[in-house]
Amino acid sequence: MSTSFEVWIAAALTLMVFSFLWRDNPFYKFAEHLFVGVSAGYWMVLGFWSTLWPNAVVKLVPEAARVTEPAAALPDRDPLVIIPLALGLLMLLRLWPRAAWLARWPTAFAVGTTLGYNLVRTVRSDFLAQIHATVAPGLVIRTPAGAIDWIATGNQGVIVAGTACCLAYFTYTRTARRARGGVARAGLLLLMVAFGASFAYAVMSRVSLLISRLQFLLGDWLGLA
Amino acid sequence: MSDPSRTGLAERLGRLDRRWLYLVLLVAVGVSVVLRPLFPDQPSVFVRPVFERIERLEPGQSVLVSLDYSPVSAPEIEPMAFAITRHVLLRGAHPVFVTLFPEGPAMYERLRVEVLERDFPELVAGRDWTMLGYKAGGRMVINAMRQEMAAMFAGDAEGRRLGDLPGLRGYRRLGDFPLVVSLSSGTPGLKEWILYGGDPSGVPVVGGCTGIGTPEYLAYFPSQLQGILGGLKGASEYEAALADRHPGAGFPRRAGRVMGPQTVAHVVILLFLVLGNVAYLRRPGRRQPEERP
Repeated sequence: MSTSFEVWIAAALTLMVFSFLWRDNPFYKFAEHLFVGVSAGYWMVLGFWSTLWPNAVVKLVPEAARVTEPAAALPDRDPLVIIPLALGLLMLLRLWPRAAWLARWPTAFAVGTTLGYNLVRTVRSDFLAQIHATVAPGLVIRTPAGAIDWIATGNQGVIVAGTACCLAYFTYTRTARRARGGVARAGLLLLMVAFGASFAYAVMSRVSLLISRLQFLLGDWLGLA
Repeated sequence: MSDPSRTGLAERLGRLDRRWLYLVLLVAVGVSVVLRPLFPDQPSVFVRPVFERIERLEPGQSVLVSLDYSPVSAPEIEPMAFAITRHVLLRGAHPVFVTLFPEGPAMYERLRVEVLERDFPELVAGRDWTMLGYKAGGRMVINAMRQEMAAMFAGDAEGRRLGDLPGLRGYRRLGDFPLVVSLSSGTPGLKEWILYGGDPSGVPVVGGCTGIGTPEYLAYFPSQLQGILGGLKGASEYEAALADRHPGAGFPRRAGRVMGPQTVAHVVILLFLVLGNVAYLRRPGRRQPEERP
C-alpha cells in the first residue's frame, strides 16, 4: 500500500467520484465542487502564464522573458501587440453596461477573421477533397505491378455505393418509394452500422478511463497490480 | 401461453438494479487489472502506415510530433506518444515536439521523464530531441509554421535559439519535415494539422486519437491522413509492431497490458446487452409485430 500522502488524496477523491454510481451523496458533491474550483483556478493561472505573459507582456517588455526562464534569449520588442491587447481589453467592457457595446468590435473582428480564414480551407479539405477521395479511385491499380487490385476496387465500390445510399436517405423532396425507398433503407442500415461502430469506439474510450483509474487504485494505491 | 418461469426471469432481468451491472463490471475489470493478461496483437490497415512511415525515417531526419492532449485523455494517448517517440529515437531520427494544448507541456514532462531520460539516457535535450513548447492560437500557429517556423518560435522551451538547435537545421517551415505526427484528443489537434498543415503544404500527416474521436478522423484516411492509431487498440497494435520489428529493444507494452482488461470489459458489456435484449423480447405485455396476411 502506498505511503504517499498525494496518492491517498487522489485515491480518496477517485472513490468519492465513483460513489455516484451508488447514488448522489455529499462525498461526490464535495469532489465535484473541488474539481470545478481547482480546474477554474488552474486554467486561469495557466492561461495567464502560457498565453498572456509570453504573447503580450514579453513582446512589449522582452526582459520579462527572464521571469519564467532566467537563461532565455531575449526576443525582439513587438509594439504591434498593443492592437490585439486593446481588442482583448475591449472584450472585458462587456462587464460594464454603459460601454458594453464596445465589446462588439473585437467579437466582430474575431468572427470575421475566423470565418474568412476557415471558409477556403474547409471547402477544400472537408468538402472537395472528401468528394475526390470518395469517387476518384474507381479502379485501384496495384503498383508497381500495374495490375488491378480487385479487393481494393471492390472496397471503393462499396464506399461509393454506401455514400449514395446514405445521401438518398436524407433526400426529403419526394416520398421514397419502390427502388428509391430500398436505396434509402440501405442507407439507413449503413448509418446504423456506422453509428454502432462510433458507439463501440466511445465505449472503448470510457472503459480505458475506467481501467486507468482501477490501475491507479489497485496498483499505485493498494500495490496489488 | 407463455412459460411463467421464463416470463418471471425476464421480468426480474428487466427490473435488475443497474448497480449490480456496475459491480460485476468493476469486479471483472479489477481482477483482470491485477492479473494483467497480455494478448497477441498485430497492426491494422490504419496503424501499419504510421509504423512503416516512421520505420522508413533516415537517421538524423527530424519529425514534428504534436502533443495535443491533456491528462483527461492521457490513458489513451500517452501510450501512443511513448511508443512513437521510442520508435523515432530507435531509428536515429530527431523528434521535434510542439503542443497546441495548454496542458501539453505537462504531458511532455511525463514523456521526458518516463521515455526520453529513462530509456535513452545517452541522449541530450536540444541535441537529440527538441521541445518547442506550447503556443496558443491553434490553427493560426500551424498556418504560421507552414510559412516560417521562426515566426512562431524564437527558440525551444528551454530558451535555446532556433538557429542553435541541430534538429531544426534545414527545417525552416512545416513543409520541410518528412512527417508530422499529431497525437490529439480534440481541438486544436489532428483535424487542424490535416486541414491547415498537411493539405496545403503536402507534408504527410499521421496521428493518434481517442477512441471517441476515431470515426471522425477515419474520413480523412488514407488520402489526407496517411495513418491513424485509434484509441487504446491502435496504441496496442503499434506497440506490438514495435516489439515484433525491434525485439531487442524490450520496451514495456503499456497499452497491450490494458487491452486485457479492455477485452474482459467488452465481453461483460456484450453479455449485458444480450441479457437486456432477452429480457426486453420476453417481457410480458410487449406488443407483438402484426403478422402479414
